[in-house]
Amino acid sequence: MTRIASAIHAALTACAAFIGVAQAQESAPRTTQTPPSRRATLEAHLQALGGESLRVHWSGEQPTVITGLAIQAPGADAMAQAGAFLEANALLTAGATLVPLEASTRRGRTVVRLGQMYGELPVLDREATVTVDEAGQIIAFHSQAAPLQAVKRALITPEEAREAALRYVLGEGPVRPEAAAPTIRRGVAAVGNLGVEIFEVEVVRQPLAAHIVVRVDGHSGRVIGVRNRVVR
Amino acid sequence: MKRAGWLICAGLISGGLAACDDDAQSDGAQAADAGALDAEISADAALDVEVADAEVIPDGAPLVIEAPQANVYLNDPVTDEGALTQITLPAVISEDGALTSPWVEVFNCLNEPGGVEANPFGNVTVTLCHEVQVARPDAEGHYLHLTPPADDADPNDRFAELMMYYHVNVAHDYFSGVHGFEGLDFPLPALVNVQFQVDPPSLASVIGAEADEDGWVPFSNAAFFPRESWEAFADQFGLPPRDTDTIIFFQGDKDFAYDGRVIYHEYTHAVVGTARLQVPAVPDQYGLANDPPSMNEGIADYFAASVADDPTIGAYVGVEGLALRDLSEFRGCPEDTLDEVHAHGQLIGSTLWSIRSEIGAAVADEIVFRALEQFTLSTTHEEAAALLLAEAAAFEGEVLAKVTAALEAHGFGGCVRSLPFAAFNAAGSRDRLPHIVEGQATTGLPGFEAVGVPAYKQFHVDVPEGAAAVRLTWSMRAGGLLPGLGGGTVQPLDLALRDGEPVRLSYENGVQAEYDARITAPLDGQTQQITLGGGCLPEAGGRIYTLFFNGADDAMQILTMDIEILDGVEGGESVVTCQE
Repeated sequence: MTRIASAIHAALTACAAFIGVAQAQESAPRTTQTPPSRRATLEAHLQALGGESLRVHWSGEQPTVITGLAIQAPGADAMAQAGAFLEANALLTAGATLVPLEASTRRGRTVVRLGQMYGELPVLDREATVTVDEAGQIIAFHSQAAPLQAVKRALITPEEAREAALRYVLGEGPVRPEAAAPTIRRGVAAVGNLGVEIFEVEVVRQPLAAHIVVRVDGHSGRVIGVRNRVVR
Repeated sequence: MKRAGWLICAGLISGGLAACDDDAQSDGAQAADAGALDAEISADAALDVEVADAEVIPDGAPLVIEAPQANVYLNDPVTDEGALTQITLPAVISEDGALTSPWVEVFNCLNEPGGVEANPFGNVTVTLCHEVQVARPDAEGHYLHLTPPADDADPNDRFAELMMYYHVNVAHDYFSGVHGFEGLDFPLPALVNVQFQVDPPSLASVIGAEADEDGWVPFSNAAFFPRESWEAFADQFGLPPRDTDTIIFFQGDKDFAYDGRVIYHEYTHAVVGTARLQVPAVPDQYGLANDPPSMNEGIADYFAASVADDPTIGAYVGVEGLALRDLSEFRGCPEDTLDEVHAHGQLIGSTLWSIRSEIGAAVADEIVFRALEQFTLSTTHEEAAALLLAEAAAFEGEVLAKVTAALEAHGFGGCVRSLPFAAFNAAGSRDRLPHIVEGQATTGLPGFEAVGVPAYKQFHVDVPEGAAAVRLTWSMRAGGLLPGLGGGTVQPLDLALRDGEPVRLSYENGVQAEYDARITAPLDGQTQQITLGGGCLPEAGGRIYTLFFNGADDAMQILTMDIEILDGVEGGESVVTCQE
């Protein structure tokens, strides 16, 4: 008698509001089109990639940690090698678009950090690392990147998002001018393969102690997240 | 040493506390304050400062020497039983003897005019303390005259500068020397004695603080303040830029800069940085997982303990004479699954300490650091375990087997996140923390409007054969762990039930939850109660899993829980039977 409560948060009822489907760069089949065979396909692919030391951690149909790799990738530096590895193995992220953010080298080993993009917008919280050893071999891959089937378009302006964030943090009272120009960042927040354009507004409530990052759903205009960026 | 538990979080339950921090936090004193960006620091600022009782400013011009001597707490006043130890400080690189090395630039923050004025509220002016380097050497170039003040609550003492200088250099030398880490090879700004002043003092409560008659607000805490926030802060308030991270030590009834391991903890946060372990909650099959920020805290604890070669964290800043955390205390999943990040971070902290105890500090630290380098913003326990195992496999001998055994023993990276639905009182619990169910406005995640926001963990009931009914009761208050945000009216939670296996969530094409029944129990004040019978209970006995869902914007704190297994039900009692 198991029931399934499906949220699909209006995805099925408001398709017109969605930006559309996958990013232009996506070449691999999307998760929703090949769910039963995706893991099997990936397992076969990974089998071909690695040897006895290969270890894969899965999150559902998605490999999120692959270690024990020893793949020589072309490229002049670790960032290029990581890019080449991902291009040759787009199946690992189902074609989600990743862009390099930074590379840090310590004692010969380089970790390349990449962020997922949806068009021009960063997909917040979804990143990957590719680890390259001194010999230029890809030895590990860790990722939460996954393609987005659809993203709800923002219907509010950054100014409206700013006002919503300030109202949430500072209340309805008068706001002095210096509190009225917080930093605003635009991106996509996603759960599973569905996302929404959001605005992140950082509001200082208590200087140096409470710098509140407010995430505003750009489609509905609602606050969907608050966190203190100051780590204690 | 006993751990203080989460006494500091008692305020969460009774009202007022900002967040449960690694560091004790006094009720109501949660505002901040700050550092002034006063770029014009006068060379003789030290002479303008009211001197702490124990300090004597030497005559003569300061002398900068290669091996200055000073007295410090090697650990903290409690662990060291009040005894100072004479050490050789790293040479300063300032011309006037101010405490700046290539790896740290220590600023005092004085309760005097000159700080930056900030005003997040229309009717309250908040002025930060005055950021300035005060401590100087004596005429021989030593700092032996800097001793603890008579009152640890002294808001201007220079001994705090000295402690910060010594211990940040220790932490830097550890990460640089042991791990070859170069990411903090610059003078990291470190502020001590930070407070702020509220005008008028009577309105300090507007920002949840208690001020003294002059408006100064004590704040017992310490924090890693990322560069990005400084940019936002400066942008918002028209301040000068500062292009590095900062660690900030506030001044309350205790001086957090006197606790070396708290300094190591915050320094480790700076090592972890803002590109790892920042995502507050990751949705998974059991609900929300707060693994990333918890691991940020637990790893900060681990390296602090490893540098000190002692598993106790916060022996001095804890309350009631107890340390904040002790990594040698076993913490496992699911039994120690908690919703506050410092408390939950003890799971990885305790696991890593077990590994260190088995394979030694050098190998354990290297494994942890190498795995950490590969973490992302939202690495989970399971993914962390996979990366730790991969690094352990690079070592010979029994390292891999011992790491594997420790991870399994602690349930780290592979447990069913469900606790027994049992009698619970947050105030009397080991960590003194409520259970949290986040709200629609607090997770940062879209798509939970229809299903509701699931709790961080499930609760299961082992129903005995023949039980007529099970009565479940819980009481709540509104609001999460951020001070002053949310916390409106208590709203009822939904309770989903599933026979024999956990309620399961999935996220493709929208949030979906698999359960047998979902019930909204009536709300009586702040309490909900539900009596389950009939088809809700397995006839032959067995386990049912429950998961709370929150449809409201605000987070809810579950303060108490109770369970009664009933042989029969009174005539007037409403029983949910889970029948269509």
